[in-house]
Amino acid sequence: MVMEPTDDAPVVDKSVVNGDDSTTEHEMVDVRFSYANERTFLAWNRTSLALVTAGLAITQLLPPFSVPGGRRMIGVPLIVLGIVIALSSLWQWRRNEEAMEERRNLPKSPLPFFVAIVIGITAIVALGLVLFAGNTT
Amino acid sequence: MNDQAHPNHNPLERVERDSESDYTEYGNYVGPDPGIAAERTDLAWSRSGVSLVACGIIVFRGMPTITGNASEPIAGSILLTIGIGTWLLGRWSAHRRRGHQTRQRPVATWSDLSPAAYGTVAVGVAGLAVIFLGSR
Repeated sequence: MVMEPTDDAPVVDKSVVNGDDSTTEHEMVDVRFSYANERTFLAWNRTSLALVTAGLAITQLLPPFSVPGGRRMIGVPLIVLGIVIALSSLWQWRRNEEAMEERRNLPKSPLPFFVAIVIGITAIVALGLVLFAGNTT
Repeated sequence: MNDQAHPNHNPLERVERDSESDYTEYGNYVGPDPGIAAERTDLAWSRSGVSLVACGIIVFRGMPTITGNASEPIAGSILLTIGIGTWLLGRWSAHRRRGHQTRQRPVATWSDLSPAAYGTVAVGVAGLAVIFLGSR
């Protein structure tokens, strides 16, 4: 199969051969863009792990607040957010990969907005606890 | 250099190349800097592995609060082993894909990446178990 490079092509092969040698209408993506997509997934995965670690550290290492369950109010949302991100990033990776194969615009990711909202609310709760609930020690 | 060179090529690239030769018949880029993107991806896998192991250690430390026995690290050890295994699997997969530029589409597949995501979910669920079932 001979390729014909064009000036505007991150996508380089106009007819793609699948693993089973059948031709499809999808086009081959430059492998560098797929690598970038993979790294984005891994970056989200590390964000997820950081949230889980932070949630655990808050609930296990901080001294308790005077409000019952105060540490959990901060830590649990972070851990749940980490779990949601881990799954969503995999879904987002596949959406991006499919969009690139079909030469569509990349779909907008809802993850940054979602993360900002949850972390913002959690931070406000944490601030309230620190200011008004103190701790028992 | 060919007048129709690929726009992503560095015009100052010392080695002259025919733009058509920068791609395999399957569309994989093997021109100038063929391995840098793959190397960054390898490094990203390494960072993810370190993060996973660090998080696993935190859970490992919290596990005795579930079992009530500070010298009972079996559950934490299993989780750490799964985490390290997941990382090694993903990194090996990334390295294998990097080393086969001429194969058809040596990019990640669902089965390459999903273990990392599921491993992270497992660590998160274990963390929730430590919080809600633990004695602290």
